[in-house]
Amino acid sequence: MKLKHNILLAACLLLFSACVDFDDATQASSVTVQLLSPEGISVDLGGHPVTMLIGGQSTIVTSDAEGKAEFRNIIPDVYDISTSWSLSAAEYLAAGGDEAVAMTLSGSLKSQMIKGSEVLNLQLQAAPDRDIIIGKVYFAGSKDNNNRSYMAGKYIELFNQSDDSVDVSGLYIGMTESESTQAWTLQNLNDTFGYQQAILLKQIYRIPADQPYWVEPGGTVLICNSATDHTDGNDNENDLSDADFEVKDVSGNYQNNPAVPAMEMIYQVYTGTSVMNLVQSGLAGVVIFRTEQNVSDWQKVYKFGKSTGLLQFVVCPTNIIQDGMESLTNKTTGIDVTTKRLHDNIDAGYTYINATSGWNGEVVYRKTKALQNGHKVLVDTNNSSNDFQASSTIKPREYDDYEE
Amino acid sequence: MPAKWILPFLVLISLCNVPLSAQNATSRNEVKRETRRKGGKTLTLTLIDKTYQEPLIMANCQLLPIGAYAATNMEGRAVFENIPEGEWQLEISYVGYESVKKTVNVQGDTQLKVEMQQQNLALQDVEVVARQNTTGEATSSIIGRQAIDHLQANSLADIMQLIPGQLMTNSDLTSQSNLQLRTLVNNNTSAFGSSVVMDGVPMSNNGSPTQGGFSSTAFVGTDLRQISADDIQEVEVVRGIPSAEYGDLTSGMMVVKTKVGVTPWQLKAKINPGTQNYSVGKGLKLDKYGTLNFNFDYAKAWGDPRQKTRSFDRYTGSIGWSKDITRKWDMTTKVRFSLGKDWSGNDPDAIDDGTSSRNDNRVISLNHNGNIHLNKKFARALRYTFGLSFTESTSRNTSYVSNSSGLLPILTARESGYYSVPWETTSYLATGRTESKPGNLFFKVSNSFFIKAGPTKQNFKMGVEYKFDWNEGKGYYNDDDRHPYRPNSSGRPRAFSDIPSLHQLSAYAEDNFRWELNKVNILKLQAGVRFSGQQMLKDESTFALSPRLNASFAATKWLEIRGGYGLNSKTPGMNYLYPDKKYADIVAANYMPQDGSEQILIYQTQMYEVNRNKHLKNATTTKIEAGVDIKLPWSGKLSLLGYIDKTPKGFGTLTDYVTYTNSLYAQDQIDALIAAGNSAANSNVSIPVASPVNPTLTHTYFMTTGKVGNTSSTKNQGIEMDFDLGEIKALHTSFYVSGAYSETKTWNKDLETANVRTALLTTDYTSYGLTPFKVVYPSGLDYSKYRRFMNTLRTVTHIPALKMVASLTAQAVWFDWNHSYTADKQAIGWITDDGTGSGNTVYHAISSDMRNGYISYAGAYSDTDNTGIKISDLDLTYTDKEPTKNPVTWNMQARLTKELGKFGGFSCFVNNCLFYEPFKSSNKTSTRTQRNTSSFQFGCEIYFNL
Repeated sequence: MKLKHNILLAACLLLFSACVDFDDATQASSVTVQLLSPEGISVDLGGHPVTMLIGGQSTIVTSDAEGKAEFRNIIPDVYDISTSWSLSAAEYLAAGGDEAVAMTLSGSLKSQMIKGSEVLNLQLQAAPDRDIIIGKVYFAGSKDNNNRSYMAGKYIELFNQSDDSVDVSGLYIGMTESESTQAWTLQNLNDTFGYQQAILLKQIYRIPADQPYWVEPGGTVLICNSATDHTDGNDNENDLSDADFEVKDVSGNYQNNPAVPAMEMIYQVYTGTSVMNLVQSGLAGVVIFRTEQNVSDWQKVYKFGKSTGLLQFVVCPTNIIQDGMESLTNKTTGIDVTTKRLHDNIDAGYTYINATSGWNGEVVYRKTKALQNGHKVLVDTNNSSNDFQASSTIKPREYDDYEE
Repeated sequence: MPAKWILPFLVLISLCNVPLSAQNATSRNEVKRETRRKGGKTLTLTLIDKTYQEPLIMANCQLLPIGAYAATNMEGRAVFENIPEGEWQLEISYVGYESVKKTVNVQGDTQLKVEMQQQNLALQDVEVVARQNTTGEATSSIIGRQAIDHLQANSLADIMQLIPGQLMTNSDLTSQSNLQLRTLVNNNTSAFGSSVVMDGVPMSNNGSPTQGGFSSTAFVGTDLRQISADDIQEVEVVRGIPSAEYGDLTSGMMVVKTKVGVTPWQLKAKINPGTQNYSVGKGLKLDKYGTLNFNFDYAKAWGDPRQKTRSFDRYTGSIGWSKDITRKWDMTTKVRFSLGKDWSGNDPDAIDDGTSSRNDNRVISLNHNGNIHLNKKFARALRYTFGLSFTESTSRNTSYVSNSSGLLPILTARESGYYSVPWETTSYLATGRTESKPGNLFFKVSNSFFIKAGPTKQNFKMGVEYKFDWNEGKGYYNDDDRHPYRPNSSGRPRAFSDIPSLHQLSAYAEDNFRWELNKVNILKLQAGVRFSGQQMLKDESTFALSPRLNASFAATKWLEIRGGYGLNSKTPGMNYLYPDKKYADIVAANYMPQDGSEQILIYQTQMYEVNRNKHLKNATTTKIEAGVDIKLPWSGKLSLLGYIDKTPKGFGTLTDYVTYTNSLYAQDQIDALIAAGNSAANSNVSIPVASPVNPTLTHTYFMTTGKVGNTSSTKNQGIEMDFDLGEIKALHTSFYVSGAYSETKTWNKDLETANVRTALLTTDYTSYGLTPFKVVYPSGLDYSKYRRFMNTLRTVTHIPALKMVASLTAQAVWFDWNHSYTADKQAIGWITDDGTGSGNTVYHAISSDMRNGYISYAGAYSDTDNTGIKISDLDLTYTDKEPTKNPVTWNMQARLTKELGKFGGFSCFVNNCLFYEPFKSSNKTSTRTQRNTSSFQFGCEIYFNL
């Protein structure tokens, strides 16, 4: 009798379990990324690495002859997809380019939701290889030996990629707007000033044009807020007393080294301060540009949709920007790419430090790509996600050794 | 001017001709003969313990509404002399005994024996909730010993939750607590203006300056934690219009009476996870030498037992001696001391980096109260109070001073000028200390007499009062001036002993009028006026005339209507009258070569000394009340009271500008200063240097003067309800509902100014933090408003047979709302330097026809010159913030007290006994926030009566 009951029960369970539908369980996806040549040229799209990135974990697939990269067994989620490679001047001409200039091809798709089998088009953009690029940005600040926050040692370092000495006099450095509630989203900028035509700057400085300032190939330009030895009482900082330029403080809170030439201050959004505002949590975007225009006359805007306010930001045209890098805040909830301030044509990605609120001495700096004519060449794919990395040990004017 | 007011009182008292020689008239027969000559009667009371039939010594006996007072002598006898014939209300209170209230009919010399019953839970009547005061007098709640015991209060602060409109709270001795009545937001003036009167002597906070400028967030009220609850016999919390006898207050007051009389040994221990409190007390009978009371109390509290980062230790003690010196003169003298130690620092489990702060507060005070029963027609009872207190408050803060930008000037200059200053390049450990030694002397003499005319009875009170506040403290100072704790403009040392002391003279008169139209319709009035003057012969004198009226009329047997109007004035304290000097420091040269050559840092210090605030007035609160008391057919009673408390001129910052010019040194001058050895790099102090002769740049800065004014305004209004629903006898349970709808509005009438928006300025201005002129906007348009509606239901189950009382309190906050409103504003003027170099400023008004014009960077108006700043661009617009409305929350407390024979008993409690800590969102955000956090607490108390 009892056995009968048990058999009946087992039969029922079997019957009902057959009715369970497992179709709604998570299933692996696959995605094919189709690379598209930049407008006006036709390049060989095969054999290039395409990176799929999520939470610092990357998967790299090489594109086939048709420019397709297939990612299989992907867990449905939101991914950043990017690729970049270099074209020599000859290759660029052969591809239909109008002049013999070495170029970097790059493209990215940010926050792409991948949930099934699909084909994604990745439009590539071509940008000429630049001589002066942003090599290193130290915005994080540190804790001194008494575990108190220290931010006087922040700096920006420029790097000469080219084989020739370059005169950096008159080069502008701009800091992107970094309000906690974004003043203008990229969409706002596109809608108002045209697609990828303008960005907003909060501070603009210029390397003085009183004399030529030559930077040799592989050389650096160290620009800081206080050109002093910051290692006194702080093991996480650097001696910046040999910096090339110093932003002179007018508030009496930073040491001014009279031996170091002053950066010219062109525009300052904040009151009571003259130093570079590099936000330690990482919402730091830096651009460099040259222009003959009078920057003081550039249009200034309040926050989007406002006709008044405390602060006005400078509208900077993107076509004059020589290089730009962007760092986003590494929050505990993840990096919010919607907070990007730079268009893809300036920086198709972003870098970040590991600390969520900074103060850990981390520096973001470019990886080393090659050794060329006796000097290092840094990775410059127009995408900080690829180009930059963070380190708390790298020193000013130092870069990783090139490894074959 | 003040003499005009005081003179009548002094004359009146002198007319009374205090016959201290009467002390010798000890023969009862002589007294009788004397009183008969005067036509009055003598009422002799004999007061004994009902159980032991022993006399009770030094009990307070009053005949109302005459206001006649007597204390029982060693035989338990109290004599009221010269009493008019008639029916009077006799009220007797004694520590540890049920109060007696009975009507006595005096138709000739009368002898009366009164028996008093010791309080215990076997009696039918217990009182574990606050009792409302009688109508016709100040609206107040009276909290007796049984209620304090049942509440298991550690300090005076815990008692506040029995007041209608107050939220239930946990006992937390680790944070300072002050008296805030009828207000939904902590307010400086309200905290400073709340008065705590201990045994007739107000605890003064006038002589306790704080370091630095005026702070609207530094509450300077009397810290209620320093008063142990176990020494208290009764507390009256006055929310309404107090008697004219009390002054120097704004919002409200607490009148605390400590234990006087013979009591058994009582040992108490209260323990909850964060607090321990032990006390021992006894009232000794010294036979012919009167009675001696003492109480010693120790409390130790940790803010959170899981994280020992804050603690509070309290040692308090009091010794009181009470004695009837003669038949006509009795007195009570109490010496009280307390030591409170606040500490905060690193948890013992954390890395100890040396940072901690500690605040020790030592108080020793003497209170002497005397009563001389003159029994003359216009001098029935002469009372005097003498109070003397010394406080020593020392605070020590040790912490690392951050130096995030790598250059920290050490500013020590105390006069205006240019100084070569020392500096630090890294953070450092520093210790700053504040030593405050306020002292207070209080003396008060009062007289009362009684007039009966037809159906009216009047009891007159009058008196004069003198208060003297001083401070001998060293003030704020650093352990090491080279490494100051606050190396900025508000960290300059200031010796409190340099601040002038305060003298305050007050006089008052009050008539308690009672008109019995018939047995039902009775009109009661308490009409009084109080005058007070502070620093009366000085420029900064303040005067206040405060009329006060409380009235009630019994319209029917069950309905009584009441209302009141009164002014309370709080005189400005030392900090307000004599503010600290104001300093501004601007860099003038920053020359830090790194090649080993000499470095120099030059700062300009600009000092402004207000010296004394001559314009400052008292902060005066106008109180208006109206309400009804309804007696319900059963023993229930409902009271509804509407109130408006308005303080339009509370203390706040008074914005006022002066200008100064800062010059930056040219390179050759810097070189010359260094060559002359002026670098202060290794110096401990600033070295004065000559101001730059040919400066590279000059800038004009505006600085505020640090004046304090009557600029902060508050209005509190609402309705309070107190509903005694009576007892369901079958359940032995009484029900009480109290509630309040309260609204608080705060706004500021200070000059509203702003710098020109940075967006309108060039980088030359913004980087230096300069403004070409100050823009003036209309003031008083912005406000903050708070509203709350809450109810508290208390059920009290008292089972005399079990000697047990249990109470369950449920509190619901139905409505909790606040709104900060900022108005759009158009500029109405601008302030510029007057151009004379004197530092004075000029105000320029903007008329409506100038709205389309411009103000140049030099501060001149132009209709057309658009190189300046367009006036309409100076308008300020704001997005109106939506009011915040919090969801309904409720909370429940359970308490139990059980007596174990006469030996002692125990109490226990659980706050938030259902552990209701829900996550709820407000109307403005979908993020759910936990409510009722930190409201769960439990604890117990045991006590022994030996």
